[in-house]
Amino acid sequence: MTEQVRWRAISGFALHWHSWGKEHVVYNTGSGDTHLFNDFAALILKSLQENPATSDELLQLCTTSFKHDEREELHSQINELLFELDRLGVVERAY
Amino acid sequence: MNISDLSQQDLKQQLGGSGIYLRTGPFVTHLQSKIPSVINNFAKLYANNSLLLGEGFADFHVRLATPRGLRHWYRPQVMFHFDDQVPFKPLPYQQAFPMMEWGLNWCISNHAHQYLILHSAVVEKNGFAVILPAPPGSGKSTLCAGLVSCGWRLLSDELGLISLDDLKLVPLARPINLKNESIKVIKQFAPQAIFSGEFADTSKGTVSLMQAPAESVAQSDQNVKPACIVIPRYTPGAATYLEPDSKGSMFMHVADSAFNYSLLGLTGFETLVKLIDSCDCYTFTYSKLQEAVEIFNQLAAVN
Repeated sequence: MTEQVRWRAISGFALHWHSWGKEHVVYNTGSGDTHLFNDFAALILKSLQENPATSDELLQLCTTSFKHDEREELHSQINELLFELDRLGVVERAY
Repeated sequence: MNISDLSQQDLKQQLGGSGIYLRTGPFVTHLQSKIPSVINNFAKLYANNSLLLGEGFADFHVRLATPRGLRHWYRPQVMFHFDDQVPFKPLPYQQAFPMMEWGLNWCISNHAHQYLILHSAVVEKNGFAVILPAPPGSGKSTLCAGLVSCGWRLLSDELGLISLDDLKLVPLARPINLKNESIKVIKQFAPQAIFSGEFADTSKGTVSLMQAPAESVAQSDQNVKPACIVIPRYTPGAATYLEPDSKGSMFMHVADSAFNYSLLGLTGFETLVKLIDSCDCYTFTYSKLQEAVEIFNQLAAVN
């Protein structure tokens, strides 16, 4: 069985947050980019700012925060989100 | 002393010689040109702006001139000089005055980083200031011209200046840049307004500039707190409709439309957060200018 990738928020740069209800804007001091996230993305990114985690661990977090019938589907959404956050440069692999 | 206090002959001599020091909002521009269309349209549209006497500090040193050589005579062109550099390719000679306007916008948007600079019109009535951020073709300038023709104060048609110190809007009452069909619309809507000539075949189509109201120019030192951000959308035939917009999406829209948001870094982010926090946010669809003005009057009345 292959070991799961462990993710963390980018290191060396700060992420600055501001939230309006279910909308969250994040400014990345490293790239200078600003992103608009929903609650789902904000929960995962904030969690990764506190502690590195695998997608399985993030699945546990999300199932307690969001009502979701299909664990497989939720797991898939988490993986897609991690891919997107990686592309945006706000998360990285924690080795 | 205002530009209108100079005779046409004196203005021609000064612009064509050592230049004049023009005050527009918080900026002083040292302007020189011998080109008749620049002098004539400038005299008409900047009549109410103040003039600084003698040589002094200027934020921008600008000169519009024809190039030397063949292009002075054959299909003549005009060049925009900024601090004796030429930042743009020349344009046809007939477009000298709009080139001056676009060049002045460029001077501010590329250098005045003591402000967060939004690509937006800004208008105000009874202390209720509205920011209208929108891309070209959205009807922003048409709406802005319509509102200032009906008693709203013009703070800016193109460059919304937000003070980084206190988040207030800093006035920059300069001519309103109208394009294509909107020229006819505003000339019919506000027949008392003063317009430049029409300049055809520019990169934006036909353009004409409308003089900023004298009262707006006179209040150029009165900053105002922003109250509302409205994204206008001109849609032919559409009903007039003002709809609340979410703060998150408005944040991204305004950040995208700002000239120097990225350059200001974290300061830009924090300033924009405070701005969005302090304002109501809407999108506004319209096709009839009179109805649009009435909606804005109602908005000002209830705030």
